[in-house]
Amino acid sequence: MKPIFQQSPTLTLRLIVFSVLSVMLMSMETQNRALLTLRSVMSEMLYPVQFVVSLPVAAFDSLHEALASRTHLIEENRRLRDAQLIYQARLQKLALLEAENDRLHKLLSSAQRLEQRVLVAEMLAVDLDPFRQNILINKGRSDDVYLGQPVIDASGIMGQITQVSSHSSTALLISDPSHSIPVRVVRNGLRTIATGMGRPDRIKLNYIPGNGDIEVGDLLVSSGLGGRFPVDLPVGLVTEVHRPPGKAFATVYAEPAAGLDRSHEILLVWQEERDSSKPAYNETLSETTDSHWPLLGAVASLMTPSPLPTLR
Amino acid sequence: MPESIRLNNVWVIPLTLILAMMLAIIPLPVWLTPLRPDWVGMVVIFWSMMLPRTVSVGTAWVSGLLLDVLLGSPLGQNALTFVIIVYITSHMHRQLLSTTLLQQALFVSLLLMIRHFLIFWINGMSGHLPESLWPHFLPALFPLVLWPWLFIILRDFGRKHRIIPK
Repeated sequence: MKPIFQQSPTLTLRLIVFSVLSVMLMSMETQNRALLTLRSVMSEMLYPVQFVVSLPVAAFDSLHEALASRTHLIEENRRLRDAQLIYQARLQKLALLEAENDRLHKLLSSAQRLEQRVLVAEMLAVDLDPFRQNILINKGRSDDVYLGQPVIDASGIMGQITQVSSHSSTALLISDPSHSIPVRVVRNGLRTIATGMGRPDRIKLNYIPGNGDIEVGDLLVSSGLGGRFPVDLPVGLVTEVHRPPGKAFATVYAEPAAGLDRSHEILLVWQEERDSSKPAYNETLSETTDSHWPLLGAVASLMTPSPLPTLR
Repeated sequence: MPESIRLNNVWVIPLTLILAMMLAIIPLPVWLTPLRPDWVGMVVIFWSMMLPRTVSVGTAWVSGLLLDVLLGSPLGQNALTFVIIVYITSHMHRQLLSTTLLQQALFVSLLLMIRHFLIFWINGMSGHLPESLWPHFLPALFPLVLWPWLFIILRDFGRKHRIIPK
């Protein structure tokens, strides 16, 4: 019989080498662009696997659609037409507001307006790391998806793209503990930062002073201060406010506006500058002046894209 | 015990690994996700136990890296844990192969517990601690039930393709 540990020296060596490599990968990935490329190349290789796994769910969905009864379809069609009518009406009002807003912006000579292009993407039906709040979507570099691109759904901001490969990409949701988004309270313009807590139904607001003016039910919208997310899209609703005596900051929790664990169809947003001259300080000025139309702005940005996917 | 392997049949190993990875990302209802068995971990342990010269630390590292990409976890997280448990397995493969299936199952369960503890640790360092510990340790308890079945299926599959000696 050969000695049991005959092969162990090289094995131990390999253990050390591979462990060190793994630790290096883990610690350097966020800063190193080459590693991001490595991940995207590997994820391109593995896309077939993900695609095959998501196939049964997609097949079931299309089967469900094909077998839906006629009355059901008629019912759905009527409902959608009603919704369309309501949105159309709101849109009319919006066009007016937008023109007025433009005029006011011109008067203020700020001209900081962003034109938004939107693309509908679908989540691939695969489960990712249960300890991270990630989703995989079916659009990638071939559709001009870029790193850091905002991802929204019909009711609010979902997150941003953290990894792109040619036909798929991964988005980090706002509920991930490593994600923070600058927000603003619609009621009074109070600015703060919302950080994820690792669960889809709760985010927390940081650095709100103990006597800060914030209440349960306040709507939070993106302030756009980091330049990454579009301005004035809904982020969440304040659900809990605690003011522990003796602490400098209040503990405030909010519920994300977007259906982070429910949405199947999501929207990718491209921001294009309408005007090149943009004094940055004017943006903050204009932000507080027109506090009544952010919601409409959100609706508008959702209305501009091609018809909703359910209409097809 | 010489390993009389048909080298042109080694594709069986990546095939089973890929199947395990598919099981690892197949969508489950939210309440079921903490109950997802650690398929890839069990398959990697199986092969490194059966064919310690063919499937060793290197294979474990690569499959861990692929799993990281599939799951969107930090690159190297699963790779590191696989490397460590496969190192232990290949050191002990003789003892393991001569024990009963139940004892094997206990051992595999222990290995996976080590693996998930390491993941727990890495998550903790990057601020991703879950609210309860169960999702971290339930996957490690599954081998107690699943291992005998998995072992027999994979062994027969391997024998059929003659990469495991009879």
